[in-house]
Amino acid sequence: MSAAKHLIWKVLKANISIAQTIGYVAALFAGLTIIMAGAALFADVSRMAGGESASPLFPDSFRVVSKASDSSPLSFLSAAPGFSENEIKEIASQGFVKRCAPFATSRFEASVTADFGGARFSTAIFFEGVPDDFFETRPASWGFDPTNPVIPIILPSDYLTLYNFGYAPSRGLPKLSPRLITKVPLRVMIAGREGMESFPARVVGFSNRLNTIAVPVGFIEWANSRYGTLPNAAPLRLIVETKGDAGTAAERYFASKGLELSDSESGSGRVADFLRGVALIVAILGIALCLLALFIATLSLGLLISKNRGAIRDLRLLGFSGADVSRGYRRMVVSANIAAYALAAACFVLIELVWSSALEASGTTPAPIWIPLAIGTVVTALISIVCHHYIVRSVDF
Amino acid sequence: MKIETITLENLLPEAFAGERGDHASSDVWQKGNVAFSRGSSYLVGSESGGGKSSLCAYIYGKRTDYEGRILFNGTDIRSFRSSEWNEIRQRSLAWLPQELGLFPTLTAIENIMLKAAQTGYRSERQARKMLSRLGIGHLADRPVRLMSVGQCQRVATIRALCQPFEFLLLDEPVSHLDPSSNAALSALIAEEAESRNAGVIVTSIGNAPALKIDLVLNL
Repeated sequence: MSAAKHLIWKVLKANISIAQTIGYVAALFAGLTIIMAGAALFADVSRMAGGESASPLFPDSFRVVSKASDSSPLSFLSAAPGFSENEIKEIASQGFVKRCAPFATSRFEASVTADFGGARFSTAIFFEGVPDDFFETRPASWGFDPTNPVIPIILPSDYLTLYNFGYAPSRGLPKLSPRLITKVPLRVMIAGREGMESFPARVVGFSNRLNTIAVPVGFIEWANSRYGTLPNAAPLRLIVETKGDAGTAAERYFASKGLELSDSESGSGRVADFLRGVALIVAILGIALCLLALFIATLSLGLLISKNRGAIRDLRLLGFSGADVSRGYRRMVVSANIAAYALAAACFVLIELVWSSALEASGTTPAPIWIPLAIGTVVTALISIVCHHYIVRSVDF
Repeated sequence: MKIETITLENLLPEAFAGERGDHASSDVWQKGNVAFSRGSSYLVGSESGGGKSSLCAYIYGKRTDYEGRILFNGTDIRSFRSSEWNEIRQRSLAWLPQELGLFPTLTAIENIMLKAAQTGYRSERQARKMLSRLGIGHLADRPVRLMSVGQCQRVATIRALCQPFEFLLLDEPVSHLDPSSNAALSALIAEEAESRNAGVIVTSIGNAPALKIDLVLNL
């Protein structure tokens, strides 16, 4: 039979167009390369933005979530609603949430006094706290020890800006550097059930993340139990750490729950969404090119088979099966597909080498290369299967 | 399947359907039961346009534009699947079409070996011997597009003989042959058919092969 196969191919290879074959291989090569590049980009973006360890390109972001204020005219009559334990659990269980914690709030009256070389400032104050590991930087002196009570305070960076660029110029006062402020001795007066008590305090840092006057949670718990005059209430605000790729999903979720969201300190979620969109468009372009290649293939094969229709018919009448007759064409197409894939894989690996060294330079580990290569293999296999069926059907008359 | 009998039941080409009743003189068309048996030789004669080639094409399963039935061992050939036809054409039924069906780009021996290698029934040596016996051994390696119709007719007939069969369908095998070539080809056909105890159905519009014919049928 192998001699017969050889002779069948000798008959049927007539009319094969080299130009059409090259055109097909080129289109498939381009399509496969673009699909693999798109898949690699998609995998890298997902890996950078969605992974457990944040990539420097897509930092995880912290949001402060609060219940939207009631806009009804009688809202001032009722206390602001807090988050129940179930609500906190539900938020913590969302896929885009890495962790979340409630704000601890002071429930006592307090004021703070500052001495600026003779000038004395005094104001009523409140405190809030979140678990220590939610701060971007924790000063060495962070923490509270009741036996040596010094209250470390972290202020929003905005306060310093307000003072330096708003308050100070209007009063002819000097600008203050963060470093200088940390040197200013403060006294916190707390009025509680057992009268007034005074504690030394110090600003130890500034935070972009927390828009509040933050103190260690340990101090709030200690002071609330000692001086608290208001009953325990459900927390009003939560700090939520979202994954780098949370993007608009987080915003949609919180909006659907009627929760207000502070601005994220980084737009990495949106950037990740955008980049994933770009990767998807690239991949779709690749798929379109592969479909175009498939179209070229079926058109060329249809033309070839119709040109050789007489010979194919004569071969079938000699008792050769459709499989016998189509074998040569099927092999030809599979060889062309393998050639296109090999070229595309080589090209993709080159692109990936350049791309991954750029990624590594930015401190990110690129996604494994085998995923796009496997996707390319699957696409090549699918195209081969479609061509195979097309050929078998075309010679069966 | 080994074909022992081929039966035609009320067979009529669709092209003749408007001419019902005009086939009273035909031995085949619209006859209730025309049987061909293995081991016997039949000559189907008619004028041109009488439907000889159509009859061969119907029996070989190439065309189905007919009324009535054709049965192999009592089974209607319309019921055969493509794979069954492949098997029949490889092992039971050999056919020499009038248009020969040779592949012009292949040489004479390649055209023959294409069929012979399908079943391994004949070696290249045996095929070359047959070509020599018919006086065209020296043309074995020439592409058939460079050969005359008479030479091609002999190549195509040898190709049909290089497979196993119980029936041999020859559509005008000697129409382009001189008497001596006719005699040589007819002797080869008779030998091959006898060695397989095959039935032979030959058509002719006049130049009939020099075969021993058991029954002549006129269309």
